[in-house]
Amino acid sequence: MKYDVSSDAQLVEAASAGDCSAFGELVGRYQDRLFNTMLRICGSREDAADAVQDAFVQAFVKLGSFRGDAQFYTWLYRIAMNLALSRRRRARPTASLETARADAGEEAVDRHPGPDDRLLAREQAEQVQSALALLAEQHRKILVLREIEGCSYEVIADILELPVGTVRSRLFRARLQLRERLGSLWNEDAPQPG
Amino acid sequence: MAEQRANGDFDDELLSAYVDGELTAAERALVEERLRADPAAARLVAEMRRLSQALRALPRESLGYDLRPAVERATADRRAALVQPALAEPGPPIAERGFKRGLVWSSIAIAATVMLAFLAERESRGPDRDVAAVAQREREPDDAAGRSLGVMRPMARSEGRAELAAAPETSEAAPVEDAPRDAAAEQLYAKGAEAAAEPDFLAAGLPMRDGAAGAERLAPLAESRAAPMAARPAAAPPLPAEAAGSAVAADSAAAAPAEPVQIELVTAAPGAIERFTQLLADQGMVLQQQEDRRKSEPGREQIAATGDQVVERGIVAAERYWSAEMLAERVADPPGAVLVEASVDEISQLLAACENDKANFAEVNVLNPQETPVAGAPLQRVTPSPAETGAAGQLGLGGYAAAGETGKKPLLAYARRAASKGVAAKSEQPALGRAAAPSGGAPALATRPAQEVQALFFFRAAPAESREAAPAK
Repeated sequence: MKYDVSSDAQLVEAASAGDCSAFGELVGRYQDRLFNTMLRICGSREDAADAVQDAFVQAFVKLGSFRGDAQFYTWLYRIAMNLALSRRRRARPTASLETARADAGEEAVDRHPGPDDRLLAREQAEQVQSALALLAEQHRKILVLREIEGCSYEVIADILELPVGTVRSRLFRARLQLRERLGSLWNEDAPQPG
Repeated sequence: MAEQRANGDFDDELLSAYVDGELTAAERALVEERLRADPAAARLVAEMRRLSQALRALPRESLGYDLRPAVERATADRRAALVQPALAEPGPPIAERGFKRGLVWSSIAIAATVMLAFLAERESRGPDRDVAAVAQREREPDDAAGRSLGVMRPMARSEGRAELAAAPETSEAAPVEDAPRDAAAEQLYAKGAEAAAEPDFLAAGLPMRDGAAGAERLAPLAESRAAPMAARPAAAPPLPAEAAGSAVAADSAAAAPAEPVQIELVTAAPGAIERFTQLLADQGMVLQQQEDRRKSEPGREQIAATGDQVVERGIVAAERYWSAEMLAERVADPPGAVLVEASVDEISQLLAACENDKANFAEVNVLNPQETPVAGAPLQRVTPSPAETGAAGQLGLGGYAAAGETGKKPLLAYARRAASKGVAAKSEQPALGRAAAPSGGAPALATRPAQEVQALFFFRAAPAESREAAPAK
C-alpha cells in the first residue's frame, strides 16, 4: 500500500530474471511489516518469524506464478496467511501475553504518555492479544488484516481469496466474537458493556 | 445480541462495514438513519470502534533482524537452478553444489533406487538404461524415439566423477557394497536444465548397473541430516541400489519420471499429516488444488499405472494455495496420498525430515513400484523389511487396496513447486496443472526445472503396538 507498486513489480521482474538482490530488496521491504501482522496471527514471535521466512521462500519459489497485475504484498500475504495456518495448527500459541509483553517498549500508543497510562495500554494490549488468540483462525486473520494491516475489504478479499461480501460478514462476526472475548475484561472500565 | 436485534430489513453487518467506511452512500445513509433511531445499534457501532482502536493500538513489533540471509540460504538451491542453465558454469560452483546436494541425496538414494528398480524393468526394452530416456519415452509415446537417443558425453562423465571424488566418504549408511562408481548422474544433475533441452543428452545412456555408486557415495554425506534413515540398512533394496547413481539422472534430466516414487508414511500421531504439510512447506512446496477436477487430471495415468485405487480423485493442481486445513480434509481419511513433485534433493530432505520426526512418523517406507503389476496386488515393501519392523511391517499400496477396496478411494493431493524461472515460468504457468501429465504435458515439462521428480506419499496410521515400538528405534 505504502509502497510504490511499480517498484515492487520491477523488483519481482528482476528477481524472476535471476536478480537475487532484487528479491532481497523485497524481503527487506516487507519483512517487518509482515512479521508484525503474522505475530498477531501466530501469537508467538518464533512462529511469526518462521511464517515470514517461509512466506518469502515460498514467494521466491513461486515467483514464476506471480501475476503482474496483482500487488506483490497481496500475493505475499496470501502465502503467509496459508503458512501461518499450518504453523498454528502445529502448535497452538499460548504465549500471547508474553508476546504482548515482549516489546512493550515499542508501543504505538502515543496517546498515553504517562507511565500509568503506558501500563494500562500494555495491559490492554495483552488482553486484546489474548482475546485475539482465542478467536477462530479465520476471524483472527480477517481482523488482523483489517485492523493491524489496514487492508480494505477488497484487498482482504484478494488475500484471503474470498468474495467481498464474505469479508464483510466475516469481519462482522469476528468483531462480535472479539467483543465477546473482551467483554468481560472491559466491563469494569467500559462505560457500555454490550 | 446485535444480530438478534436486527430487523429483517436491516443487516447488522452494515454497522461493521460502516465502522470500516466500506459502505456505499446509500448504505451509509441507511445506517445513519438506523443509528439515530436505534440506540442499541449505536452502541454496537461504538463498541466496534473501540475494538478497532484497541487492535490498532497493539504495539507494532519488528522482526529485530534481517531475514535476507536466511531466505537466501533457503533459496540457494533454487537460485542455483535459476542461474545454472543461463551461466552454465562448470567449475567450482558445480562442485560446491554437488557437495551440498550430496548432503541430501543420500536420503533419496533409497527412493531413487526404488524408482530405478521400477525403471530397470523397462531396461529390458533396450540398451537405453537411462532413467531420463525412460522418462522421455513416457512423454513420447513413440518408444523408439527414446531408444534412439544419443550417448553420454564423456566430458560430463569425467566432471561428475571428479566432483564425487572430492566428497568425503563414510559408507556406513551405504546400502550397497562398494561398487564401481559412475558419477555421471551428478553431472547430469548439474546439467539438468540443459539436458531437458537436449534430446541427445537426455538419453545419455547412463549405465544403470554401474551407476550405483553415486547414491552410495553421496549417502554418507547426509548422515547428520538424515541419520535415522541412513541408519537403516534395510532401507535400501539390493537390486535397485545398483542403479542408484543413475537414478540421479532422473533428477537431472527427467522432468517427469515415468512413475512416482512411492513412499508410505506410517503416521504415529494424529497430527502427522499436518506435520507433513508443514514439512512440505519447509521445503518450499505448496499443496495445490485444481478447482476443475477433470478425469484427465495431470498425472492420473501415471498414478493409475502404479495403483489405480489412488486416482479416483485425481491429482489436483492449480495456482491456488492449499491450506493445511484443506489438505487435512482431503487426506485425513486414510489412505490418503500426496503427490510431491520436486527435485530429488527436496524429496530427499522431505524423507529425511519425516525420518527424523519419529513422534509423527513411525516409519518411512519406500514402496517399490516394480512390485505393483496389477492394481490391488500386494506391494512388496522394499524398506524396511517386515522382519525388521515387526508388527508394523505390513501393508503397502496393495494393503491399501485390500483394506480400502473400491469404496474407499484414497484422496490424492498434489504438491509441487512452481517454476521459479523468469521466462520459463511464464510459459509454464498456464500448463501448471498439466505438467505432470504423461501426454500433453511435454511442452510444459520442457520449461520446468529439469530435476523434478515425483514422489507419491501415502499415509497409514501405525498400529498401536508399532507406535510404541517405532519411536524407540
